[in-house]
Amino acid sequence: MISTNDYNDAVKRFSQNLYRFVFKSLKDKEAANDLVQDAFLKLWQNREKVEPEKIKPWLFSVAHHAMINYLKLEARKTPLEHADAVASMAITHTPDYDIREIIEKGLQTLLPRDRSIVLLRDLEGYSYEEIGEILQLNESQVKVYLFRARKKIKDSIKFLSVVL
Amino acid sequence: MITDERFDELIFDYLEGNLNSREREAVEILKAENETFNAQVLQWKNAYVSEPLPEVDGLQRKLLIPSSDSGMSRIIYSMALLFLLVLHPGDGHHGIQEQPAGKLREANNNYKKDISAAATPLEVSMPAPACESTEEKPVPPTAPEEIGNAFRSKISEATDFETLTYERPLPGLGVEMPDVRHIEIKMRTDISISPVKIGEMKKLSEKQLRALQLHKRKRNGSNRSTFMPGNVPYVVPLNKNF
Repeated sequence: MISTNDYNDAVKRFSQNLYRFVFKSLKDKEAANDLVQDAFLKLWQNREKVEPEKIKPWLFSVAHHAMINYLKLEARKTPLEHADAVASMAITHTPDYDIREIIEKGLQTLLPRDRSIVLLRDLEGYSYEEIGEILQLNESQVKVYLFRARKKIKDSIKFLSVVL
Repeated sequence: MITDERFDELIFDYLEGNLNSREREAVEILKAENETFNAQVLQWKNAYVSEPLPEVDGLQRKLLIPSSDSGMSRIIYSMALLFLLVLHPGDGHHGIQEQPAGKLREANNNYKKDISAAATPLEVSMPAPACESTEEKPVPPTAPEEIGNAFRSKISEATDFETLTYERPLPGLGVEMPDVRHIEIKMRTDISISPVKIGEMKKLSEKQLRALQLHKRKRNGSNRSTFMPGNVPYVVPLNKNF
């Protein structure tokens, strides 16, 4: 059971992290705002079910699933057949690139699930077990997906370094 | 023979902290000896995502629920309020401020004075008309013409208020009309009636009106209320043959 104080405390402690996590994936401020608000609204609506110690993983789990739904809807609106190609083209046409931008583009080429794993690991410092709990995967799956995702980002950096 | 894939896994585990101390030492030796391996480790390191926390003050303000508990904040708030009241004791307009009995009595008397002053009509100072019923003034010779002109004048012809006023005494009446331009109307601005009092006065007047209506009805003999006045029973006249 979450009290008002617990909820407010969660807002103060996790809203920034949650926003960063969502915004990093979606690259849309308004959508990120909406999803974070939805996540906290759901937290308040389910305050009797959620344990105070599990608020953070619960919020990230809700945000991750909301993000996947949002991306599915967006994909229906604007079908992009060659998203990878578009992303890499955007980088090659950027005159002054930096490593951070390349990583951003590399992240966008990942599957939403893999992207969430990378972000949860790198930005939030979650363990494989915790990531598994949030995304409903087992530990070894998390490790494999993370390895593949990171390798993909690394390869894109390597490729673009050679191209540019 | 270690393949590239195995190298990648090894570096990944090394950077992720999944290796035990012996494996870690082995990787560090390899890194120090092999330049290519070292470069690969750097490439893997670059693949880590970092991002500073954004400012989300507006979002936080939207999400926060104002706490309803009577905790420290309420105590601090009430103390601050008390402090403000001590600093600014008020100028008599605050209803919550306690007044000494003498002051209250004085305020009440002032209020009564105001009410009585409000009941008096507006103060109009105008020169009193000189009614000279005993003394007869000589009528000017052009009197009939002027009267005729006055009746003939139309409002549409008048340009402003002054054109309709008489500057000279109205002939033939023996009454000296005051010069309208010199009438002074003084509005009393120092009277203040509280809205509560206005409401009470309104209620009183309504009550009096109702009492008057009731009195009129009693006087007319129509005080009794009729039950279903539209349903007058039809009485069949017996003196007619059907």
